[in-house]
Amino acid sequence: MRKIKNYCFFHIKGLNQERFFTELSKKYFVFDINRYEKNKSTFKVSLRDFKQVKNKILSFGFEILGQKKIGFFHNMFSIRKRYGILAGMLLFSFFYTLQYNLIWRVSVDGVSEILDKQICDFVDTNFSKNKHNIDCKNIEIRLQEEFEDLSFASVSIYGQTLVINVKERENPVEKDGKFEPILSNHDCKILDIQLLQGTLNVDCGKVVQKGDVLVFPYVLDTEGTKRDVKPKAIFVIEQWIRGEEKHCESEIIKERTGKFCVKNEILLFGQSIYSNRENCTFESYEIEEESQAFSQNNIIPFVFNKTTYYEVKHIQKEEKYETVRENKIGSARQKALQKVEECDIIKEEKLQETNNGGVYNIVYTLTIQKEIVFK
Amino acid sequence: MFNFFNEIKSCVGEIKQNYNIVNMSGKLVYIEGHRGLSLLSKTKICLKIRKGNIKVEGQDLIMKELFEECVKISGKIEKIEVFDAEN
Repeated sequence: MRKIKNYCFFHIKGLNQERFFTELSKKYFVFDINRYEKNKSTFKVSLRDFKQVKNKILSFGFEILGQKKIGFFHNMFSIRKRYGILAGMLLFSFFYTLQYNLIWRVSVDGVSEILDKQICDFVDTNFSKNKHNIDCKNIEIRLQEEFEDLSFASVSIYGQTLVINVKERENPVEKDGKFEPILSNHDCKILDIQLLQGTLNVDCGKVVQKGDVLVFPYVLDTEGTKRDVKPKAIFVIEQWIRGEEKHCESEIIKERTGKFCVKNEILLFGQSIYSNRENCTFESYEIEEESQAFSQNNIIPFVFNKTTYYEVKHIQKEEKYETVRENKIGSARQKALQKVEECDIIKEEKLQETNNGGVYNIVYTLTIQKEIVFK
Repeated sequence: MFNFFNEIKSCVGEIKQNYNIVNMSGKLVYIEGHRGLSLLSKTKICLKIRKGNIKVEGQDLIMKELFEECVKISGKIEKIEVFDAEN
């Protein structure tokens, strides 16, 4: 079945319509014929046959009760008579063409915000807004003349945006001449030094403390003049890391019995206005307190205070050092190892045990070697 | 060019009549080889053929397409009668 999207709908009235449709079908494509009354019917024909069909209807002496054109082409042609739309389209085209030739935005990339604004202002005031009058090469030259801080400038036009790519001149850091000396971060022994820049303050084999100056931020040239430089060096150091543990052969420890009581209080400006019980009756106890305000911004100045009393008892615990020695040493070693960094090399491990009246001190010392780069 | 009706006709032998009627589920009738419209209404459509008539009866009949020689009728098709003067 042919699908016709641009068609004309007729509503006619007349007698002997059979002859009319037979005649019509010989020349034109007629569809959706609906004779709903004896002398009235509707039908559709292609939009391009509209005039001929209309003449045919009139020539047969029929009355046209209604006609309607439907379809995209008809809508397009009907715009010809809508002067408002036409005027709008013309005005739009005019303004679009007009504004298309103008630069509406200046975009600066590669510099700080302050310089960005200065460049935008400079371009706005000194150059035309018309795209065809803009000479990108000229803007590049003028920008480099005007702004000494720029080492590079590139200007191009993308659509209605003037894109300026610039690069700020970078001064060598030595020009500022403010450098800090390299200080030691640890108590250590210097094993090897590779000086890159600056003047050394230490020698290989020297033991330094944390905060000692390792390299000064200057060099002396052949004439003996002091010249500031950024100190750079690579150090190989030996460092000592300690892990400690303590053990008492006889000690009194506190232990909770499992009994507890809770005291709830409501406070107003720090004063108790309600309490569910008096003070605790335990002989010895531990306290856990929890405080919560009724409202977050203190509109209601009440505070709810919950105090939990845990009964405790004191027990004398006796444990021989020999029974726990291995565990204590392992624990001290672990504590020392936790301080070792990933690339450190462990050179030596040392254990030191001291007894002071039943109190044992276990010190586990690791000697490590590491490389530190200051650049 | 392949013609479905000619192909069918060749199977049955020689058929002199030069009209074809296809009824599709009682909702659409396709008639080929008519010579014009003799009656058009919501319930009855009559078409002339050579030496005869075709009568289509039904409800809400609408002529979906009308060409010089063929026609498509939609609606509730109840009856199709052929009055052939030759037979």
